[in-house]
Amino acid sequence: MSFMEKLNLAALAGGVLALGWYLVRVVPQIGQMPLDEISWKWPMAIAMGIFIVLLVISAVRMAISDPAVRKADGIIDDERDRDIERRGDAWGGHAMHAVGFAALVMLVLDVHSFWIAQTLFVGGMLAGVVSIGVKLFAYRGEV
Amino acid sequence: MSFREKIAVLTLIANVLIYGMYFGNTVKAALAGEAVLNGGHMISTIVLLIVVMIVGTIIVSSTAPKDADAPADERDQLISMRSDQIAGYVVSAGAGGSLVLALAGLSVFWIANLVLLALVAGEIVKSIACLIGYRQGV
Repeated sequence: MSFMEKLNLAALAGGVLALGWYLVRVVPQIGQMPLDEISWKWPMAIAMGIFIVLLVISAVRMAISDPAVRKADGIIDDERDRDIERRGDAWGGHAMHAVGFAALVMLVLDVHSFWIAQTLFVGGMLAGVVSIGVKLFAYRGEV
Repeated sequence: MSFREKIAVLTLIANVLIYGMYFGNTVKAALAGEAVLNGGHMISTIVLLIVVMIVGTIIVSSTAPKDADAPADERDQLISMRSDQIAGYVVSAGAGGSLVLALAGLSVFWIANLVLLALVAGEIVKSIACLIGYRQGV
């Protein structure tokens, strides 16, 4: 398994953990109280922090334990890695366009800002999952 | 110039002109203290862009029908993928910025316009990346 493949797996695991932690905190509050009183801003900021910290720790651990990276050789830049990164990022970009457009429609329809923030955050995380999913399938030769 | 390059030029010009007017008016309104989301203005701008793109694409296609019908070759696909990749970064950054505005409790006027700006900037960057790809290679 290449360094980039491992890094993508770590990002996927970190993203799912952070998103899961956030949803467990916020979803039970929906319907129990008015939207303005739901506590979502700090959980969202903390979830982003969890994701970033997990990703950095994983990347550093993998870099230390990977002899190819220690020799500063063979980290990313073979043509296949580049092609897979492009493909995954392009799909993630399409998903992010859809999320942005959905948020825009909701804004024009004057939907409560709570739902717009949830669409941007959860949608953005899912767009990341799409991007990484395409990359992982591509590494297995299935895309 | 190939069909796909012409479409990239059309997309670039249409986005810069139409959304340039929209954001010019929006900035003027904000400076005049009227920072209220005008959904009708936003939707009419998006519809205008769609109409211009459809008419423009029909005109460009009619000048070179064979080129327009040709399937994308490997180079076209690579350029398109690379352009989509870069556009994705721009849209993601803009969506992240919008989320920060929502977290900071700013009004929907600013959030909606930043989301729209991110989508438009993504299209503009995509067109430019596409043109650079065709001119300089990937």
